[in-house]
Amino acid sequence: MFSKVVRQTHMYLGLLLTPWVLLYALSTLAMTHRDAFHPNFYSTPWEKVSEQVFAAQFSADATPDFMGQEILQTLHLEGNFRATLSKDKKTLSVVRNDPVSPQRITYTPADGHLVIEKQNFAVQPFLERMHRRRGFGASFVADNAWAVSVDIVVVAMIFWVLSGLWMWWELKITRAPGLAVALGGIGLFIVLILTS
Amino acid sequence: MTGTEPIVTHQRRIGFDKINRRTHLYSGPFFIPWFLFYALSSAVFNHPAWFGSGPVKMTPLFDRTYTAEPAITQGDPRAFVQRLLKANSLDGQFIVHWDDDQRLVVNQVRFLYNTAITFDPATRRVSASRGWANLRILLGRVHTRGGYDTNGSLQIFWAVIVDVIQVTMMIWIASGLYMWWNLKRFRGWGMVALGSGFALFVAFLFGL
Repeated sequence: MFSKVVRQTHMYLGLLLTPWVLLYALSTLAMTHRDAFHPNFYSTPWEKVSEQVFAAQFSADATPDFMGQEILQTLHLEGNFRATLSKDKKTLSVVRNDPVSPQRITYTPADGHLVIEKQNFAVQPFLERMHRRRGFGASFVADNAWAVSVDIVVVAMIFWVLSGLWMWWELKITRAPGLAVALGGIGLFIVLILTS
Repeated sequence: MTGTEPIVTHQRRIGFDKINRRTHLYSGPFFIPWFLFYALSSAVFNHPAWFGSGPVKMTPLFDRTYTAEPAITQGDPRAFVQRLLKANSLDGQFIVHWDDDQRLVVNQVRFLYNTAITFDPATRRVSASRGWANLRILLGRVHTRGGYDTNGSLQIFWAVIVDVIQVTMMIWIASGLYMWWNLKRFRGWGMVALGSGFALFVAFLFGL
């Protein structure tokens, strides 16, 4: 009975989390071979979508985060963002961290001018953004839910290791070669950790 | 002849099934350490506050004079630093910059420790100190090391292993899907699990 539960949990967890495993595998390859894909994706050009005037005005002590949140709410672009005020305080840059197509809103407080730009979808930047996305504490439910999914993947990875060991041990015919393989991996890992 | 064809096909399928199962099984034990480190380090990244963030305590290694060659005072210091490190038994890749006091500040990062070296051209004194990684730092280093933009055969070998692990993860997916599909009684709920996973993932893409 225990064995059955272990096997089925191993399988169903694998099926459920297939997109995450695929994402982390592909994104790691994209990062370790960045030159082969799109080496300068951080400088991917922004494409202007529209311009408009922001009707409201902010008080002098308004923080970049507060301004960013209000502007995104007005534009119906709520979600994870990063707001940066220029050194001369003449422009506010709000980057909406959309994993598929990020948007940037440049706000000029003097005249309320808003420029809305976006980055078109590209596979490698998308993979890297999703790979790096993590952590709790954001004020958006979707961000925290994603962090929960990352935790589930972590627990699943540990479970796959333990359940895999259990299933391997149950197959007597594979014990000896499996042990040799496991010891080989552990030995190589220790050597690399100690020497590099 | 016609009667033997299905048997041959059946035997081939059994042969492939076995290879598929054994590949799925044996690739697992070999990469257990990496897989565990990636899992635990992801937990560190996802919950940074749980693991603290204090600086590493550095222990002095030596403080001596380097007189083997004239000291440089400006420009690209990499060749000079390489010789300086070799003369002090600190071979290997490094990062270097000139600080505000016109001293060379070098850092060497290994999995288990990092070595900070300072060379003052005015006095020709070279000093080194070493800080041992705690678990949080070690996990972070294992997680983030990868790629071929590095020196040293061991570093390149590590990058190859990282690549092999990613390919192995995709093999686990493919071989796992194949095994699941052959277990006909699990197809229904398996489809629910697989479909739910993809639906949830797509929902995240549009919701994040």
